[in-house]
Amino acid sequence: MREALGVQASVLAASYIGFGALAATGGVPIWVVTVSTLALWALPGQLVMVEMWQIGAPLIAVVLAVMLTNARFLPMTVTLMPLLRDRRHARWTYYLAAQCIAMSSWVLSMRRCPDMPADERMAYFLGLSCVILAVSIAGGVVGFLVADSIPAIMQIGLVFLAPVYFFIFLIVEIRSRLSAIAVICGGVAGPLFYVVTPQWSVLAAGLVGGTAAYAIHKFTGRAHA
Amino acid sequence: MPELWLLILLCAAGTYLWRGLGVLLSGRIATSSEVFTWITCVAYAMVAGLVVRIIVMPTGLLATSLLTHRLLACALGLAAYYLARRNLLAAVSVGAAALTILNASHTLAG
Repeated sequence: MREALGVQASVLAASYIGFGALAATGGVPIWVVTVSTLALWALPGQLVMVEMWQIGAPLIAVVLAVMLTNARFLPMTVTLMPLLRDRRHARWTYYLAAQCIAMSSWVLSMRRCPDMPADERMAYFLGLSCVILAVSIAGGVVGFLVADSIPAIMQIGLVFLAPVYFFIFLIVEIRSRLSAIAVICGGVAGPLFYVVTPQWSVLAAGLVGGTAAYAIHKFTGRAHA
Repeated sequence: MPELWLLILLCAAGTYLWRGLGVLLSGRIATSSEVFTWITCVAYAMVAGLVVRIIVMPTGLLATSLLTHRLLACALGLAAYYLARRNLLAAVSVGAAALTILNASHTLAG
């Protein structure tokens, strides 16, 4: 639990402070910050939703963009669920746990859970998620409330908190050769597909970049990582 | 604002669709299978693609900053991570502060 209560939580709080400040300065009500954190539980998706709403994008366009931004939850859930599976858990527990999956909890659990007894992993994951969720909601509210006292020139740093966090997190938390190749392939494919088709870029970069990474890993053989 | 409630409801439902579908499909894929390996690749690539795109081609307020400033801020943040003995909070603080300072000095000078 140490990593949930330490730096990890402060960093995520900082990201949600940025999100709260962005909402406040953009005329988005405070309840949107809190409710979207609980309901979406995906900072990139929440940013897309709020930004598109502010520029008056059609409802269907916003929903589609958020869905495509969050399509990563399908493979993320598929890969995490087998680790959490244990005969003692009721079926609905998995559907509750699925709502708790976020990038931070996913990367940490993918790394920690294999070293734990199978029956302890769900408790670890839900506990971790509760701490991260509570801190994020508090961060969003604090960010919103202090937004008025932040000069406009400071806001760019706050908005940059989330991207720089995810960027460094991906680089330093990835341990296996396979996932390193996948991160590089996706990182290259992401901007390229955005030029061709912004709405589909997240999904396309994942599918094409991920498949390319799989092929590279497969055909270059596996040296000891 | 009833349309905001509807928007959040639809976005939440659309997001949960992937999570719920993930639970349904996970029982049908063995963790050791090649499909599993491929899906892991897709997940990492998707997240990395989104993050790199936001940094290289942002929308909204970030789009008003320079690409070189954002890249430099990322590099400084990464350097701070290792200099501060693997401290992610220090890394993120340095990255955000660097962009703020670079952008402010550029805006004020221009």
